[in-house]
Amino acid sequence: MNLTTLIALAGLGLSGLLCLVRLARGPTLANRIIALDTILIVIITGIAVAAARSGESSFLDVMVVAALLGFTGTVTVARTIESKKAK
Amino acid sequence: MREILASILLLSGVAFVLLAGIGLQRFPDVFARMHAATKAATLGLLLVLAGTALQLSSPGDVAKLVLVAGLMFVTAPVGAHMVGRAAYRAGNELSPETSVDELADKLAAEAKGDRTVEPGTD
Amino acid sequence: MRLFAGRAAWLLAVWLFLWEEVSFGNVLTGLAVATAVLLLFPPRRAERRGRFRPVAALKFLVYFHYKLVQASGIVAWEIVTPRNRINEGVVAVRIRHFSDALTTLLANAISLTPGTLTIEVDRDATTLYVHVLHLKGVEDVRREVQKLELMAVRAFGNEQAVRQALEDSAELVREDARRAQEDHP
Repeated sequence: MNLTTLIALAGLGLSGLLCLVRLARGPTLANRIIALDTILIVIITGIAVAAARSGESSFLDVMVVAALLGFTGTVTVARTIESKKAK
Repeated sequence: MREILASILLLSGVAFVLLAGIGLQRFPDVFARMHAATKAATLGLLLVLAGTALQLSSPGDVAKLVLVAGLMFVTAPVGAHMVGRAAYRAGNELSPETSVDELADKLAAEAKGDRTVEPGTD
Repeated sequence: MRLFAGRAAWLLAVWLFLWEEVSFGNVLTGLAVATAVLLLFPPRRAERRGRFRPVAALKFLVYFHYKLVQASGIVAWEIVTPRNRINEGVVAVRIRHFSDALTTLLANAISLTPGTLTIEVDRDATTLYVHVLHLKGVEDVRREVQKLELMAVRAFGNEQAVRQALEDSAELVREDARRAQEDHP
């Protein structure tokens, strides 16, 4: 399990890095918010893997909060894009 | 045995999330990237949550993981929809490989004040 | 009152999930919080109450999950293979508007199934605009969405909705048969 979670965390780190690239490159704001949303999913996944790795489950609450806040943030930015035509 | 199953779930979940990240790079325009982010990443997350639930089997933890799974299930598509809608209206171009675009007809007609155009009935 | 109780029950369940244990104190505070939330943010009255049919709902869930896995498989395949196989398009699909909840469920289900993503809903909720990743035929997309709609309505819609949806599907079958006859006379 330790080895598995190590590989998993490495994979997640790589995915996060790719999302960061899109965050920097993505020509429009819409691209960037999608990259952020994916980074959020990477974070939530990372928390779950960390919980599986250490057996410590006290920080699963962070997952719930992250999911909720991430969704709220995404919707807010989407409405900004639409209203200000900020692309 | 349970650990092996949990490991498989975790690794396949992370593989999907990694594919989502790669997809963000490879797809030609913002809408295709949304496909990758919503579908692949969400399924990856669900797999990882299942693996973690298998690993820590106390009912309280599993309850929280189920909660997050349900939450993501409902919010991810809605989030993608809102971003897609906003991006389209704000003028993000579809990639040059797009063949059909019926929403454009409708929006153009709306702009001209003509609400009687019925898309998709030509 | 029954509607209120149902929604309060959902909120209570989420509350209990968050606190991880079902104790007397938790249930009490949960009910208090649920009541407060429902009073402060009263939900809109549900229009045309649907019904819940367990068997059809189960079929819908199974089909939907199968499609979800297939979708991710297809997206994974697309990410790995060269990009010139993508042929995007935005398709308009007429749907029947029964209730906001059903339309929402359908739009979400579309977003999670292979190659399709809802990006716009017509104001009167009669048309969904679906972005497709591999556009092979506009009619195929419409048929897929209508199939999904039929399954959802059979699971959750009320009587009138189901009857209308079945009428449409009968027409669909006849259309398929006619088209098949045209192709192979």
